[in-house]
Amino acid sequence: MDELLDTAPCGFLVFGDDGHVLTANATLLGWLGLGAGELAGRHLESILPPGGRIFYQSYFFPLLALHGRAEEIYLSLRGAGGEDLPVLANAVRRQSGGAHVSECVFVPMRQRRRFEDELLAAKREAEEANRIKDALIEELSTPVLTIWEGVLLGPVIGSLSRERADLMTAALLGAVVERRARVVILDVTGVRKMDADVVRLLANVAAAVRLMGAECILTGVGAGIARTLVRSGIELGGLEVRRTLADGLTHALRAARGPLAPADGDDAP
Amino acid sequence: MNMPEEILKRNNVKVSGRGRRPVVFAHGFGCDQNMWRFVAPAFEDDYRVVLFDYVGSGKSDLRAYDPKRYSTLDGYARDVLDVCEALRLRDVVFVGHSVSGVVGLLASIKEPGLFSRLVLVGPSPCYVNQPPDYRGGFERADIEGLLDLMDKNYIGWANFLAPVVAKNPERPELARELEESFCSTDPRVARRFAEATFLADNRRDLPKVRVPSLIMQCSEDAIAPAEVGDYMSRHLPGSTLRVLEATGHCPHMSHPEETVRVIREYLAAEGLS
Repeated sequence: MDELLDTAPCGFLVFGDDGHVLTANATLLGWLGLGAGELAGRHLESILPPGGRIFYQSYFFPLLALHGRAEEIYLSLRGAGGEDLPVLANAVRRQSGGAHVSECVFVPMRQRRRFEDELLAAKREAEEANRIKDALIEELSTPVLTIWEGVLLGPVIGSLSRERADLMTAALLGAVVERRARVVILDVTGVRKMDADVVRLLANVAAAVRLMGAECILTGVGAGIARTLVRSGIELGGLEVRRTLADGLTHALRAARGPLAPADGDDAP
Repeated sequence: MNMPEEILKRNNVKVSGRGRRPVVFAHGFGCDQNMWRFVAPAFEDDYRVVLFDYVGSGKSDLRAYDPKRYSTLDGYARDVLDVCEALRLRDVVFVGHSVSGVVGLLASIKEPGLFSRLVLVGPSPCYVNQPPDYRGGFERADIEGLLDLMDKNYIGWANFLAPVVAKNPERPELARELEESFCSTDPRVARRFAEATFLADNRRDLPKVRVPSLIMQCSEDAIAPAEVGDYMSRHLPGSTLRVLEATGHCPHMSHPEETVRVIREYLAAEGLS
């Protein structure tokens, strides 16, 4: 080996397609705690930790075989004493005497890896924080309040998507069973935009509530919404509609005080 | 249900060859159908050659990626069956590298009538040691090491290069750079594939297999060592074990001639050439 290369401030290694090391420079051997000639003839995997061997076979070698080169690959090299040395590797694969050989250069990167470990940890923390935030928003977006014995209020604020309608249905149905509710008020005063799609979603929520044996009242329905309701032609049969939450509440209290009506209401005592 | 054309697009299916009997090549963890570049053409004269990418790999349609489906190898086996069904294949010779060996076994358990032979290149039913009597070659911590290495390598491009590619569709050279830097498309997908692969234990599925198979065991394979090949051949009914001169875990890339020869010899001996 060229004397300059032998002691250059980077690790240098040549290996065949079968993974066997043909030659390694003194710098690399020194890092790994190996004597002269101790690596030649051994498999490259002998200086990789087990996870690194999978990585070598799954990515590093296929990259070389398919593209003839691999650049900026992070690897850990395992020294004779079992300690790991993080390195950045560049390699090229070429024909040499009828066979392919790959030449590989390693640069240690202890400092940088520490920095990147922190970067990855920060990324994971951010992902976790995001997950918690999403869960919280989901929870806050579907509140179910008990405002009277047997009367639940589900205020809908902002915009209503299919996902949110599904969450709302699940939350309401759970609450109806758990709190033995007879009446559920769906208050849409705070809904930003009321179109046919939203009306359809609300009708679905209401239908599910009624199936559980509770009455459903839609409140906060102004003139604009009323027009949408009429125009959309969606079947709202059995769904009580009131202009304000106060109107709905009055109706609900009357209904809740009355005898318990079964789901279909046919054979009430 | 997906239309056949959708499946062919979804799995980036490529069909070639002049023969009638289909040979389906399935890539392993890490790369895509390109891995078969040095082997598949040798079968085009006598077989119908089918190549594909699992959803999440290569040029598959990433929009079809379902994290739940692809968190176990059954989801990948479903891909194999989908592709075979979309092409209306019969008497399939399935050739699977590494984890695709087990994927092929799972697919054959679901639809035994679809396959005529299974060729398993460097398969392992379980990569993690299961004391007291099974040695897969790895400890769980080793697999964590692999996942860590994958994360580190994706820092380099996925976090910085991928958004750049997405924002610059008029610069295809960026996409090419991304593609060449790594075979897989999305780090989260690759990570889930790694977990599904290396943390799976399919030892109990081996006796359920009814389709005859060839186990191609490499010499000095650190990922699927010789004793794993022996375990496979003992527990897989109707299997033939061939130990290759090829070393390492990717004989189809490092020793394509031997790989082609051994597969052809097996199929000839079984009367399927």
